[in-house]
Amino acid sequence: MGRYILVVDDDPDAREILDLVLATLDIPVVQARDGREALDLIDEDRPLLLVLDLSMPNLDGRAVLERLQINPETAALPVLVFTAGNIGSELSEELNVPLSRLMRKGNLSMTHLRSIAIEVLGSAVRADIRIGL
Amino acid sequence: MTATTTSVPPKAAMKSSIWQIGKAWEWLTRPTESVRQQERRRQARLLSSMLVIFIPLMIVASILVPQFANPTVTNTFQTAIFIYLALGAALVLGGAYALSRTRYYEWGALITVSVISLSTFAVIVSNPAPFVIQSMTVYLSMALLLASILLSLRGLLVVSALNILATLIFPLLDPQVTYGTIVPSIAFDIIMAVIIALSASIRQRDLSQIEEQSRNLSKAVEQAEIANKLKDQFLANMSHELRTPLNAIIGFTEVMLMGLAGELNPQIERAAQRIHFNSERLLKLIDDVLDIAKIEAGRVEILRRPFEPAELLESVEMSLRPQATKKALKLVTVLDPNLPKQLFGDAKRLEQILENLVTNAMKFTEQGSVTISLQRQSAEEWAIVVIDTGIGIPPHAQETIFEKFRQIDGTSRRAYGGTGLGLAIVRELALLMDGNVKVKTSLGSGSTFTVTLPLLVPEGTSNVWKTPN
Repeated sequence: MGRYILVVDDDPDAREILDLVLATLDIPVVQARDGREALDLIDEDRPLLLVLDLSMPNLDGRAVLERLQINPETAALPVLVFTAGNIGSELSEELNVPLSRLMRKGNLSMTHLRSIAIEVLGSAVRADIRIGL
Repeated sequence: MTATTTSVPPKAAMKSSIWQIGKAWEWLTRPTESVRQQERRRQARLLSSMLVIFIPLMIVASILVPQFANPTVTNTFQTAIFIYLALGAALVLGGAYALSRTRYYEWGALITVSVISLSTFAVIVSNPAPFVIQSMTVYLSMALLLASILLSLRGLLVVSALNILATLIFPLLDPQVTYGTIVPSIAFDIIMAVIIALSASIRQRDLSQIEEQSRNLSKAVEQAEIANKLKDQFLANMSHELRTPLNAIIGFTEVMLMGLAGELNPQIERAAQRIHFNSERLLKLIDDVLDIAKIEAGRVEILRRPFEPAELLESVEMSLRPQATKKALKLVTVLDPNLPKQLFGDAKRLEQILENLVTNAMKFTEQGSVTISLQRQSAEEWAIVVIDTGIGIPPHAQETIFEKFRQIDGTSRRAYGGTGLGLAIVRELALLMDGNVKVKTSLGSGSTFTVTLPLLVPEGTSNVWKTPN
């Protein structure tokens, strides 16, 4: 398993923001512009965490999730869905992703995203960073 | 192998002959374009039922009329035959009527037309006197009339031609009948056929016009639907397009506020906070305006299906907790011990109602708590209750807070931020779900918003939700 976080978003600004925030966890962040690129990267080397946008060209977030979930090797890959649309229990059911791993862009999301990422990554994050929060 | 190949040709031949008959039948009965099946069927039924009534009357008349009009002509034998014939005809026509009630109504029509034509010819053949021919051929026009209504124009022309041809045969059958005798009846048939054909074509033209209008209309409806879909698509795209740059602004501001772009001096930090606050306000405004536009356009569908109320409340609490934490407010969810595990309703819209109510409550509460609960009012009625310890609403505003756009210019809203559309959305959604929304409030001591909704407990849901301790 690779030691990196994969950020997938078609908006370069969104990728840069996520990169800046997640880089504070002292884990390398790799960016992908769409679902296709993301799947290629995951095939090469499994990330510790996938931060995924839903609406993207080529292959969208839903399709990425579907493919990851049907493959037993990637089914357990931790995923944070980071979307501009509405989130709720219905979306959680539709995507088969726990509600606590769905995040809406805007709304104090960066601090929240960072803390959720720390929670998901667990011991992969250096202890001083974990406690520092 | 050989057996199968040899058996094919006769089968094919049979098939093709059936096909030919089918084709001829179709050609005869094909509705002239605009005459709809329904209409033809209704007419077939009407005419057949008229005939069914007409025949018994004829039977009665055939017994009574000869006796009263001309008692000397009374011949019991002839009357009996007439009655039997009339009964037979009644049976045939009754059958035609029965057929006209089924999908074989065209057969019923054909039987009706044939019975009239054939019985007329039968009378003439049995007594081919010139006066009989002249009077009976008048009845042939009845067959033409029926044909014009029950069959297509082509069917009418075929029936007319057959009747005229049949009439032309009479002089050959009986030397007493000359061609001179049948000229008037043929002329009468032709005139009738022409009149019927003309009136049918006029009716046809009217129908074509109506048909064209309704075609245009359905085309217009189709275009409107396409335009509506495009607008929906546009709205959906726009909401994404509007949010993307805003999210970048919010995200980068957060990055700055988190100190990831270096230490901020107090002025810059203050500026970043204002940028952040206002962009979030704008984001909420965009969401609300798009939501209300959707509701206004009637594009919000209420999809009722089983959902878990406890999960719903939990999800709302979770998504709003960051905002509550930021304002140091207590966000409390009270689970009714009698809350069923499942309810039947539109969870997405309920979530939206709850989110708007709680957001609104938190906006006007500086300290204390916001409490969310779902309570049973009656067998089928549930109440979403959101209680805050905020500033309350002055009496004069209690009527207007649920009105759309009303509060946008209100100074208090400006002070507290937000669009003021949240409560309007709550009310619209509650109404869409056959519910209502009420507020109980007094200045300075908080408000209680209650949305009452009909929510059914799905059958078989007896298991009661246990409050986690």
